[in-house]
Amino acid sequence: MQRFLLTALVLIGTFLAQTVLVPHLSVAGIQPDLMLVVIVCFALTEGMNMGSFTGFFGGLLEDLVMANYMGFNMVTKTIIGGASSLLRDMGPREGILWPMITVFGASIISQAMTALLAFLFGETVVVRSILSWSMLPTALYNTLFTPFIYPAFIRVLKWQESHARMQVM
Amino acid sequence: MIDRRTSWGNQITLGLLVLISISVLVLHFREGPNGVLHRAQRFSVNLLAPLQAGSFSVTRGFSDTWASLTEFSRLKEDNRALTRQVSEMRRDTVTLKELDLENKRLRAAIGAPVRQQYATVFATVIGKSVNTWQATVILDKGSLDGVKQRMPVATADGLVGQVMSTTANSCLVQLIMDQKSAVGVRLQNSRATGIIEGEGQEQLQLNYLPKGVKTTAKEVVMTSGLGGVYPTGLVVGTITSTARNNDGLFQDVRVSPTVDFWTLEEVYIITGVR
Repeated sequence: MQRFLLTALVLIGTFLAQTVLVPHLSVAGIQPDLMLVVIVCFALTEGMNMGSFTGFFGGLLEDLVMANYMGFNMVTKTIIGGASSLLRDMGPREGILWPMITVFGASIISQAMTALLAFLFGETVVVRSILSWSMLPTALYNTLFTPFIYPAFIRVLKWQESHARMQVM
Repeated sequence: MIDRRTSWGNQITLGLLVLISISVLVLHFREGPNGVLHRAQRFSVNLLAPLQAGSFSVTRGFSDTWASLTEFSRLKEDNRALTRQVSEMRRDTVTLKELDLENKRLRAAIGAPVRQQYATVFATVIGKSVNTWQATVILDKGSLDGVKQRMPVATADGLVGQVMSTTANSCLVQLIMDQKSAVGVRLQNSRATGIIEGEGQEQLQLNYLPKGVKTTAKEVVMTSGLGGVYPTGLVVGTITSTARNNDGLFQDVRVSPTVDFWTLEEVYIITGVR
């Protein structure tokens, strides 16, 4: 129950930060996708189930409030959440390098999927925008945020685990 | 054995969630604006609007405090410059008032209709778009305040965009820098018309301006009123560069918006004619 509440709080907090704080960090129209970074963090630390669920609900939260097409973020973030968890045993467990590489790859794939969905729905402007200028800078921006978010994320999880253990004792 | 079963279970869960997401996407696309998912969207926006407004005011409080600490000397200088500007503007206001009265008298004399004045609702930005390819903001005013779809939004600096959708207490605004935005405009000096299109970046693209039209740097671009969404005479931006290609009938003109979209906080929505 406690873990469920913490996850919900992290997702809502990330969403609020994404809509309120992140626009201030925009550089030439490019802004980081904090929700994606957090979902990859969940996937790398908690595995496929958690990655998929946080991707689904994180995407749902974004789609409910901001999206022209509800489901765009749900589809891409659920797949990213599930797929990123497959990489967790492929790289070193310690350190920040592997999460950074995963976030970079996940950002590229996420935007490629969005471009594909946009193409299927006839949103050619979005496709052009992603492929011509936003794909790589957004991926780099997300990667730069990972060294700040991933360690903080691990610390919160450890705090919650020790808190839960203390309550059991 | 258990591991393999768990792994299969996880993959089935992932597959199911993806399937649900795709179904939601298709359903949302096919249903009308009063469908279940559209209503759920409006309900969620209403639910989260107070939370967003709260977070926005907290971050604004922090940034204001930080700015007042770090930019004290600049603020003092700004204050002096603004005081000077206010006295100049007071003088201009008197002149403009005289001109306005004269204009009304002359219009009445020749039987021309009086220029329209607009009713407005002031609103605060409480959220911004989550994607790079969308340039939208959420405002804290909605249908209960008389806000409707396609109403123009502006600041004292110029045009901001138009209302895309509303809920009871909030609305979603498409900025003119959004890649799907198109605004009918007129150049202040040459009076030539064109269409400003957003590119998701700081600069706007002015299209369909014939090659023969002479443009000057920093020339003001205003709404033309053509198209029916935006009223005439709202400042959109100033010309930053012009290029005349050998092929084609039109010039390649770039416009810098007068509104700073990155620091947008307060706006007004034009709700009708007064």
